[in-house]
Amino acid sequence: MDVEKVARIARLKLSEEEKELFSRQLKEVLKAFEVLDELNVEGVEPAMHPYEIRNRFRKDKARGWREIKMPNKEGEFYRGPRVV
Amino acid sequence: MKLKRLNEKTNAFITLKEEVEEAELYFSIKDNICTKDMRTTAGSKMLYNYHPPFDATVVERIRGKGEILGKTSMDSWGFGTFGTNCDFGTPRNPWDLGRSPGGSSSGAAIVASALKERNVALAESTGGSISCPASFCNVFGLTPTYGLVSRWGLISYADSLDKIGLMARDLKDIALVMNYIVGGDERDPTSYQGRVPDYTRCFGEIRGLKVGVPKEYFEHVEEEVKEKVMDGISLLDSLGAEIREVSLKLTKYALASYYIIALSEASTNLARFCGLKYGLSAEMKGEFNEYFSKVRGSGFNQESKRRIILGTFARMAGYRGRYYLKALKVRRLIINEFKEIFSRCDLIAAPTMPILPPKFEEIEELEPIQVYAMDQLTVGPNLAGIPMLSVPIGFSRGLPVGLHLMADHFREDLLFRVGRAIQEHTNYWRKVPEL
Repeated sequence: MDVEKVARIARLKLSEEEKELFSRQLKEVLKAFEVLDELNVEGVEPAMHPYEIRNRFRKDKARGWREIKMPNKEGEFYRGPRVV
Repeated sequence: MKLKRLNEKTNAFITLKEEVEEAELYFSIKDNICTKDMRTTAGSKMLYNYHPPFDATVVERIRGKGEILGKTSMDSWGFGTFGTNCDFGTPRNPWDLGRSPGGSSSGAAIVASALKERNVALAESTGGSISCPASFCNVFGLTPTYGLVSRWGLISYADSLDKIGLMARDLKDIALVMNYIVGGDERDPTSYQGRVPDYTRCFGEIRGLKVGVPKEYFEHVEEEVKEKVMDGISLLDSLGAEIREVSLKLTKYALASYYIIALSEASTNLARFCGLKYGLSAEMKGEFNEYFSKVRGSGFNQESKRRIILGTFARMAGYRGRYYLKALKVRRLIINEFKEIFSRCDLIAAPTMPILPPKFEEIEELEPIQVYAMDQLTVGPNLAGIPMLSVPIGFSRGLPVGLHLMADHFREDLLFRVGRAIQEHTNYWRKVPEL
């Protein structure tokens, strides 16, 4: 696994030591996951939930805005890093 | 009540309520369940300053039924088996402060076990986070069927696996509080809308109940644990239950399937913690991705980063079929295997954990994959979303052992019935650690 590449996709800044440590440790984990290769799952339906769950919808109605304090909040907007 | 002292010794709470009024029943709440008047961190520095503007549904439902003590310690985001990944001090086992209380609902189990006053802990399990600490701390721990208890207001780990459940010294108190918190909730579309029994009335004869004992759940288990668990199964036998050996052949595949699914979901759930809308923030420099990466790199601890990377990888183009989709298909086979057993048996009985609570020095020596392997007995039933109850079944070298009872979906009534029978015929559950 290219830890650096995956960390970039996951938006995680890693130290050099972390990159090295995770490369070694995750290699072991992926090796353990290979046990699944023993199983033939052809034609098996993936189980997204423990049992069948149907979508249930409710009315899309706002329940009032509740404030969370953040230093970068300005009125109803969040301030992000400067883009241009 | 000496809560502060308990906390100093065990780190059971991340946030302890300043003034606690006397009550007949007390509640502790795992710190990934949102509370309107108390900080909610999920055990992570990332949310060190997060004060939710709302109560989770379960919290709404217990308000007025007792006094809330505070928010209990946990491995950050639920990522851990031993409580050692908490960013606010490592929780300690009240039976031996040099040992792990189990995770991730560590503080929940500590309070349930060590506080003399009658109390119930609101906890949460994704892959064993209720059963494990319940077993290590000598309390009852109920993980209900997936969907039975609303999760609105829970800080998600993995949506297809997360369940809110309860822990207490006395199973009767769990039954009482289950009655308060079950019931459909339109804010959680996976919550169960059907009828449920009065759990306080689920007790009585266990004669004739068929209890399956899966032989695979005794492989790689410490002898001392096995012995106590077999004593518990003999007790069920003497009370008239029919004990039969069964086989769950897919047990060895559950761990990989569980970790791939749980971490895939976790890596998407944790994307929201990027330093903008809640929690930790930093100086706004560079472009957006640089900012996000910097905040996330400093706010997540090592185990969280490891799990996010693993989960992101398992979903990536080119690997998705081999890992994520394959794991979901294996999950289907595992569910079917449990269902087949429940067509012949009322319950399954096994050890909750393969080991006694380990020392912190022993945990430090373990590689991540060895820690994950400690979940070998709890991930299967969690993948299947079936209800499970860890029952105090004895002590070995002064350390608690748990018997794990599992039942078919929505058959909590059977868990209560058998749990109450064990409670009547044993005294382990009455023990309180001396601190």
